[in-house]
Amino acid sequence: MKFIYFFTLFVHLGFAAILYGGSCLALFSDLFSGRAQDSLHRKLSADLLARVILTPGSSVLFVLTLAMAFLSLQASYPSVHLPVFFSGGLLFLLALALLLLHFYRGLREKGSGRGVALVVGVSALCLLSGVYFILACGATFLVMPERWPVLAATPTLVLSWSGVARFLQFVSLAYILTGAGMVLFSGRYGEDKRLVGRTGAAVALIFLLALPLCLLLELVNLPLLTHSAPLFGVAAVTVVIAASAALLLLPRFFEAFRRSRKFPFLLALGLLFLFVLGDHLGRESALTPLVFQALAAETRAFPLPRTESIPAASTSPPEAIAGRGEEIFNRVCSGCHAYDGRRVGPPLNDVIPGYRGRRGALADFIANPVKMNPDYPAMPDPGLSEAEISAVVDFLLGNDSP
Amino acid sequence: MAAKLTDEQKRWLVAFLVRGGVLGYFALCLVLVGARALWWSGADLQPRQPIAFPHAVHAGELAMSCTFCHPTVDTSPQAGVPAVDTCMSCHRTIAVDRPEVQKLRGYAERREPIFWNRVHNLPDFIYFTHKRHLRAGIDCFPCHGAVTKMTTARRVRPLQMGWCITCHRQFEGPTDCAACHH
Repeated sequence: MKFIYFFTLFVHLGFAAILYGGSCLALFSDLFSGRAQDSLHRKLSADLLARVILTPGSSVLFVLTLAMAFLSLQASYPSVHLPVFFSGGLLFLLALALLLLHFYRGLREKGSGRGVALVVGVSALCLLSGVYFILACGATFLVMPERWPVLAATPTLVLSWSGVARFLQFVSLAYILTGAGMVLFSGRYGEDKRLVGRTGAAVALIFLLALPLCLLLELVNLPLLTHSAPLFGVAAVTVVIAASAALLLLPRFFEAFRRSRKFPFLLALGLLFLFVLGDHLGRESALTPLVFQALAAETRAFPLPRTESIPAASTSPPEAIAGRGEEIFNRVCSGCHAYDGRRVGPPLNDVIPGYRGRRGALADFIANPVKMNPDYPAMPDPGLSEAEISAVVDFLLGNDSP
Repeated sequence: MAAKLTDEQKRWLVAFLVRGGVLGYFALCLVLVGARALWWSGADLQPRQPIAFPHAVHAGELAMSCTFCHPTVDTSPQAGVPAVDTCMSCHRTIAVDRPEVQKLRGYAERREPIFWNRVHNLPDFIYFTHKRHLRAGIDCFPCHGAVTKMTTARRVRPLQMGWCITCHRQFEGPTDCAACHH
């Protein structure tokens, strides 16, 4: 189930990154395109939008992958209990953002009302940013199981600095993927291909430089328990891959020589994979079975005696100890003896009846234990005073009532 | 005097410097990631102990009460670790042939205390008391994890302020600074 979550998250974030980066770039180039209808920026913007905005059918699929991620998350960690307003609200906002993006594209294609279209586009992107910001914070929230039950009461608890760092990483990855994608498809632009390729390379390069900083910010803010050697290994590999992608993209500035256009894109996909993998590793080391067993332990397995400790035997007169047999039993004997079952020593329900009417024999045994039953180890000397032994014997034989 | 650079040489130099700069930047980031990793490894969540004491056997299989070995947990700030004599009260006769128990016996014969490595540690400026938490009816597990399943004791909860506060808010514990900070 965890791997289904991992996989759906990877697929969803891949599409989300391209959608987010592409529509942001489209909006920016639209913003700076001026009034001219046929400027290169306008063309590029329309083309980017056409590429990254999914058809209505695949938009629904895209939203469904997020829903699927939520469901598999719920299945892998049954005690999470995602509130409906959280998952449902995010899905609704995502769908709304997609709808607004479609609307924006429609407006731009008709060529009418640039101002209105920009307002629609910007609000769509704000919505998208919001959704992925909350999701990024949610990933940190997920490793703090104590906070799960209180999410409904205090939704702000979901916010965290490592979530901010993770969101910045997502944004960088979105631009890197989009830039590398522009490099990949630059061949299709005919005479503009060098310009498109260079724009893509520049965008990808800038955010490749930003990515390690965001990564460091996240490593500094991540909860301690998510840390593990593999997590830092993934971070180091991320930096190395970002460096090689940056070096691959550099020649496009200084020499016009061509290399494979695919590699930067593949490396960018690799970066996204490492991003999701790091998230997974952190969760694995923070949410161990030991934690869940502890959180599920609602019944008190080992009743702690809720009593004041009794004064040390040497300082108390015997009459202060008589009648406190139960306390002494809880403090000393209950470590090894229970009434109804085998612990270190035998169940008392089996052995005490043998001492009925032989009070002295029991007291002697407690004062000087000898090995009685071959199935059990010899009882150690509990180190009780005579008065304490007498109180315990009273308690054990049921003569406790004064 | 250096000879004048040709255009070709200048372009090469610029490309070289830019690449060197980019590589240097990423190398610096790599070093910082490494530094962070080293700093983290300073916080050892599962320290090695002088004697391999298995909680899973004592608290788990034998179901001994936590208070048997940590007797002051409900009466003082510290839960306390057992005196060597407490261990020996059983291990004079039980499992005496195990190598780790023989190590324990060595400590007892030398009358030497065992320096257990602390697993759950708080900064000096934090006042934490077990007694109050137990009196409030909080079990050992939420903070110490499933100790009954641990072979070597391990810290599984963060013990950081945000974590404390979440619980204090939820169960209406004190949330003023001076309750824990001094």
